[in-house]
Amino acid sequence: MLAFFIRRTLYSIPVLLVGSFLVFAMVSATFDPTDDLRGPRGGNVDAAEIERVIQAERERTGTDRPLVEQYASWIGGAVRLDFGDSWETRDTVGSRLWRAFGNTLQLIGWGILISAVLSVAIGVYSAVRQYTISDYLLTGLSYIGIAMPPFWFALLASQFMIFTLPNLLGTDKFLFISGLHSPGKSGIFNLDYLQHLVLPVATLTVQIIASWSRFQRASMLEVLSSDYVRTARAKGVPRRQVLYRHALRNALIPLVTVMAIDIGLLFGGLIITEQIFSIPGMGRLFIGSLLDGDNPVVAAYVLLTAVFIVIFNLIADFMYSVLDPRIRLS
Amino acid sequence: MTAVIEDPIVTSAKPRSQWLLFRRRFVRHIAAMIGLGTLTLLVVVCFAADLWVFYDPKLTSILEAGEGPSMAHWFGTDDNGRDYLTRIAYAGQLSLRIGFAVAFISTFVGASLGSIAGWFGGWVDELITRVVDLFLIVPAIVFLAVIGRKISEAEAFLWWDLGDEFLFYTIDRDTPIIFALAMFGWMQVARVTRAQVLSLKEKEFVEAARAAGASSTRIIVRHILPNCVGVLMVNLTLSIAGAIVAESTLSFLGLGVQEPQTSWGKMIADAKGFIGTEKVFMLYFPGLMLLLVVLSVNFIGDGLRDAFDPRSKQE
Amino acid sequence: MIRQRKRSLRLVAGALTLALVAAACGGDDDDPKEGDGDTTTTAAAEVPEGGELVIGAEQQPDCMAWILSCAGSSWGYWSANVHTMPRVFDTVKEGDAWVAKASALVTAEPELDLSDPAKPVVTYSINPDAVWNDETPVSCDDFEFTWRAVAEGDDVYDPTGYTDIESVDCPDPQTAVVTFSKVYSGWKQLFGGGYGIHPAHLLDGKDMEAEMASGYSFSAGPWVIESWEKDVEWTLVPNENYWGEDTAKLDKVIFRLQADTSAQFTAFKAGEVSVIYPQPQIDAVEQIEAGIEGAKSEYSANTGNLEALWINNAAFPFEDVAVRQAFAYSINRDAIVEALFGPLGVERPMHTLNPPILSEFADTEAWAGYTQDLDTVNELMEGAGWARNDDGFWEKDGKQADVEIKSTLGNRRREVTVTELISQLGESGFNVTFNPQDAGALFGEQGPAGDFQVALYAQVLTFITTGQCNLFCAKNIPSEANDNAGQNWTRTDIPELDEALEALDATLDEEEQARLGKQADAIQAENMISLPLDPLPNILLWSDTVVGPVSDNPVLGPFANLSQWGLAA
Repeated sequence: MLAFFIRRTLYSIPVLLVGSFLVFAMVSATFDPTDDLRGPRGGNVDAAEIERVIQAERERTGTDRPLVEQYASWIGGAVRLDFGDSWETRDTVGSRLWRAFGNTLQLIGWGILISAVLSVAIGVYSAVRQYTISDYLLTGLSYIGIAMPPFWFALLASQFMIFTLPNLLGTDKFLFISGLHSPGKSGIFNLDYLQHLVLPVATLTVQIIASWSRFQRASMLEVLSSDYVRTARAKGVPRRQVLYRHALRNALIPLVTVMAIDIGLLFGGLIITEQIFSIPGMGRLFIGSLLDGDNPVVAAYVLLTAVFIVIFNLIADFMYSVLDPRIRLS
Repeated sequence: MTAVIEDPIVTSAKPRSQWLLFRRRFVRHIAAMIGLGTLTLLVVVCFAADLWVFYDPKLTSILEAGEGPSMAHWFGTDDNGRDYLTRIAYAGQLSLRIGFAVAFISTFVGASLGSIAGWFGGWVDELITRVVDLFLIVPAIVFLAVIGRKISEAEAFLWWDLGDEFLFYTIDRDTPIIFALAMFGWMQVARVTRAQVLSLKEKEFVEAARAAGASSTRIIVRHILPNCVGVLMVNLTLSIAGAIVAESTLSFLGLGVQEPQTSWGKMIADAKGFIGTEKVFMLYFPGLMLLLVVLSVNFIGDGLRDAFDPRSKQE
Repeated sequence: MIRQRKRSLRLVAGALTLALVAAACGGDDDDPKEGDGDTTTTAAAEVPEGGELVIGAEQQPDCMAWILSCAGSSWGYWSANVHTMPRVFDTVKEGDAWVAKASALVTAEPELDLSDPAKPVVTYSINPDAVWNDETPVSCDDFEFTWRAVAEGDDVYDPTGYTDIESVDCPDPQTAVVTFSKVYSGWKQLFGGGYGIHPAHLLDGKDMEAEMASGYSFSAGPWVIESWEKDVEWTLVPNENYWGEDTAKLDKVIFRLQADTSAQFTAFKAGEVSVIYPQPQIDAVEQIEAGIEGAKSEYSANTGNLEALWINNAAFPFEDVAVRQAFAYSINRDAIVEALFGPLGVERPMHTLNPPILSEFADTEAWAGYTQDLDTVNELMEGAGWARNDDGFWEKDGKQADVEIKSTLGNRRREVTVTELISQLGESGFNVTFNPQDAGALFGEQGPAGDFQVALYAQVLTFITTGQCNLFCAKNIPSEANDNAGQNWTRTDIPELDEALEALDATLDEEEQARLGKQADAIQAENMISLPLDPLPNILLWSDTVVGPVSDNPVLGPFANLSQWGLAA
């Protein structure tokens, strides 16, 4: 099995290399760091002075060199986690990404935790209560959840929780829509943090909870109708024990695999969530840098996201093989 | 494709009865029928907008911008003073058009590459699989955002000139968006088709055809693909939903369709500043339409899956 | 959404000198237009002490090493520089006009001594009370250090003016004698401007980027930068050793970065930030019109911006002046400006291609004659040999009057403007399409290359000058001769106009400049070289819990007098 993972990892490397080159080439082709220096200006500007500034900027950003050379030095640094300097702020790209990553990690962490707990609970409950009203209700909700565009959900949820509901109740608002903390506050064990977290995490997870819970329900139903569960029941093992010790454990295997794959997709979902709720995470850093034409940040973000997705796909394979001994990886 | 035309039309009893069975199962799938009905209704309402709307979608009157609902304008007016209901119908045309076009293109590309990979195996398979991996390692939204920023120049990416009309389809400013979205929508189809072809390749009827001296193209087109129809149709419906949401997400970020065109996603983006004001209702209508379409399409997809492969039935 | 206000430091410096020019001309009557009666000024005595104020910021400083080329964001200048770096000249409101006045840093108003015309001299008498927060006095050394850092440093944003200084002499620590090698008319912006005076005792021999780029703790202003959590927020706290009169009243001011204009507004309405300075976007203006509970506001149209439809005078069909005029007569600019900016008190379109802050030198009525008038359009077009085709569009020699309007991507206000134009121009026979562009491509490639027919964007004034020769003189049409760096993207080529603009550049007499400027405006309008629209007004909104003389300073920014603000209990 170890050999399988080593091979899979080795396979990923050329894919990542080719991918990163394409990304780098695409980003370089779309943004020229000197474009905005040529912007329309009033006043008598000396053309030679502008040309000098542009040339200096080219040298500073290294865009005066051929593309392949730029890429080679970039990827050479990237494997040592040195992504160069941000064109906008002069900070290292690494430090900007690292700061943003902390916030993103909080969102992802809470998002996965809450999604996992809720979707397993909902899935198991629906499966056990198959064809009852509550099952139909939850299934219906999950259909809506899957179909709901996350950014629309975010806006509706903000309107309702920040404005409509407090107005109806005549109270102060009890959630926040900007950032992860009130200004000057920090830490993750306080009410303020929770109040900031609810809306973004809900936005991030609504689709995931809906689809995972449907998945969990299906796989639970399959297990419940399997021979070994029936046998166990027939032998007189208590229902509760059958449910949780036998059925749930086996029904979790497919979900865990799906989870690992979906976590990669979460990175995409973060862009919208962080933008709407002004959360200084990687998604917002990406969009901001993209719009400012800060190529080193954009390229580094894309590469890191790709690496994460590869890692989580590997984890998915690994989980699958560990949790289900019938599967032999070869 | 000449091979197909030369081929005598084989109508054995088996596929027909399977088709009948499929149809019966699909029609009995209540959710799918509701979905199909809703989607048809929405498509007709949007595309027949010319017949029922009271306002010219292009006519602006900026001094009447941002009015609330009234007898004259049931849903109020937008930032340019255009009737909001009319706008929703025309935005729907664009959203649906993009959704369908992207789904068809990406399914076609995915199915072709997937069956080629599955059928030929060896280095061809290896290459295509790696390309699929390449496209899957970064969330499409990231790539699309990068492309979207330059979408107005993206026409240059199309290396052939399609002219103004292509089949029944009008080439328009949204064409680059369609191609960009399709570029990142085919991988799943390719994977599924490849797996399907791999398993079909070993089946007796394929071996029989091969023994009879049929060419690869002919076996793929005549024997393999028809057996993938179920999977492909399910994927097609699901990618319609995916494409519509992807387009709306791009437009929400300001990187998708541009005025004077609009889509439901763009309408939501344009109304997002109205949170916490009386005009927040402008946010509701386009989102509701998106939700309805995606919901209907998903129901249809479920129905198709259940009908093609009753074993996979989840309910 | 794409941020629009990525203003450069050049702009900040430029705006300062411009205001000085305006001030030199005496009180002009084109003062900031204020919100309808909302603005209340509370006497300083009533402002309570203490409290934490949260301000929503649209951008963060790219870096805080102000003289380096990375410090490009005007938000950095407004929110940090003006509160910590000492400067010689302040911009204050006298009556209706904003004027430059010597700050408390100097004990006497500095004068330009021209007794030797080849070597102008300015003598600064530094206030002996003025100290840095480590209690080191602000001294002549700091002047000299600042001069050398700007004039001789690498990677300096803009050394203009400082390079004209020949020497800075220090007869005593409190006197700085600055000798110029030639007359630099913008001398008042030196030792202030976008940079401020830097402390020699802390920075001499040090790496400026390392010391300041991520924030710094020295200050000779009323505030000290306490912290800067990048991409999140930055915080000011009072300077305990501030030597001036207006010591800070608030305990803390937090600038919090918001994702975009609508996020700013939502956070403001939700009470999470108390002050915002948003762009004049559609939803912002509509919300102001609808009224925001508990909010006060100030709008200023006296800006250095001018938004216009810039026409490529060399591109079909606009090479014909009659078509350009017909184009102008097709458009109802009053309706557009009223719809977009009416709630901000801007009800008339601009009638000159000079920004409002330069109105002394402009004929502000030059374009007033161009109002929507379809009969005139028909007359002009038919007179020029055009006829309507079956689609109702003008056609000449088999070519239809197709017009593509380019603009920047993702700007909702411009989208709405162009959509309205498509409708209005369509009725008068022009087939208009909209093609928004990435700003870099539009300004970096298509503008200089003339790859546009009409472009909608704002011209932002960046340098001290009243002239427009760079924009409209034939010799500045991008060409081989000027390395394609000419700024006359509209390809205006009118000998008569060249003459007036060149004469304007050649004179230093302000009355003559004004006369020639007005004359040039008249020629431009007659030839309809482009169509001015609006001045892009500034918006400052604050919660009514914020008390004090809150107002938007056109030079030092909306938070210039932050130290006098307080929070109602």
